[in-house]
Amino acid sequence: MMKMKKISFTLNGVEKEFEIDPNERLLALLRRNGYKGTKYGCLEGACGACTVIMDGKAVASCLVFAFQAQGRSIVTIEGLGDGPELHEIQQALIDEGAVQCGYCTPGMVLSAKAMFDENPTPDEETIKVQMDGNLCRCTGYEKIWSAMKKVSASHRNGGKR
Amino acid sequence: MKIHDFVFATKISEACELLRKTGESAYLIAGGTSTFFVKSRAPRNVIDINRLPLKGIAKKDGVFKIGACTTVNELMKYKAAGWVLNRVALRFVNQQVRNISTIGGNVAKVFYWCDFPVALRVLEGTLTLTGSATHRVKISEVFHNITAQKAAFKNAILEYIEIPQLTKGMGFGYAKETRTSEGFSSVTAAAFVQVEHGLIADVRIALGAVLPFPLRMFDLEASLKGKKADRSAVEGMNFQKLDKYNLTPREGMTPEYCRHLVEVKIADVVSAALAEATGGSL
Repeated sequence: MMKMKKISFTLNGVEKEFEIDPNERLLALLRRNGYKGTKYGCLEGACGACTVIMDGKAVASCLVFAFQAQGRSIVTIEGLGDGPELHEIQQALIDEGAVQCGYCTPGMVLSAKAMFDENPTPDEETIKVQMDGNLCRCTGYEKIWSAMKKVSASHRNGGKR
Repeated sequence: MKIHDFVFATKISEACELLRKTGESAYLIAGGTSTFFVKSRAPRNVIDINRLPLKGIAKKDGVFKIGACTTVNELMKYKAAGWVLNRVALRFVNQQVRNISTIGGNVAKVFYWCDFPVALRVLEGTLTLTGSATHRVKISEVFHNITAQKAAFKNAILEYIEIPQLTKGMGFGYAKETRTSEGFSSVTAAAFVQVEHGLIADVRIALGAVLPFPLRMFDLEASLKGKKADRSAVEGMNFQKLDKYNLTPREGMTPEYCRHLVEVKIADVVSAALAEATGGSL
């Protein structure tokens, strides 16, 4: 018989408590609690669709047990933006036409956010390394890189962070 | 793997006590990513050691001391002369996995595809393990074979990995072949060389992924020692020495292609190590 246990962590800035099965993945926990911007993809850490930010780092929530979030800070795509106002990364992706089917976009945005939070002005090589875990089958990546370079350039020129 | 229960350890002594008390069903996790690929369905009691104070890299007296819970991302970003594990880290899956996977997990839970054990076999150095007592063991002793590796990590917690800083005349080469950039390794190879007076004074070559456990290629090494440190050494490598290994083709490879890939990757890593050691390109 599996033990159900309680854990708590900060989710999008709010302290929350959850009852979990020890085998549950963070991805499944988030989705069954309504955070469906975190997408199911490969379930083996390869595609990046399930990316969330844990303690400031982009992680694949399919390769994190829910219990590993105990006491940590988790940010999902629902935690970005301010009401109708989009986050600058989301806006840059729209401006550059970097969203097609959109399935990879939440993970892409969160990987980018973790990258820009750590380094507001990454160069192209850094962008490609930091975002190598987000696969997109629609865009061919060029417009995504272009959006990221635009955000980086905006920061370099004193834009909002 | 089926997890029955989990606990968190915040001190090494506490983790050791939990390990002892929990017995056979205990399963240590740090980053935990490899746990999702464990095939056994036996219920295990997880001890999460990722909150232990075992993070970070320090350099002292020509040795890098790496905490077992240091993430692969930290290894990739660390910069220092003679530091080479960033090259291994860069080829590690992707950023999301590098952010959570730890070097300790990669070393303690050796799957055929593991990256760091192959590199550590050529870099040598030591592991600090704590069980009923703390002891330092040579990487070559722990990774002598799978039985020795399992015995070393049974009822023990890996605290630190120490590797030497590479200096002038030394070189390191590393290659990992994957079908997709995030895929498991089809062939992993690493080489270390030391060149003195234009000759190969020391050489170590290790191979992984096509074997169940990373192995040193002692015969190949012996055939290179004392040779002139240039392209002729690589071109003259006697790959018949590989005949005795039962190589396992991965990812749908034919045995012939697997063997060919192994030869190419070994030549590549030895070339890269020689180029670095001689300060030029071969």
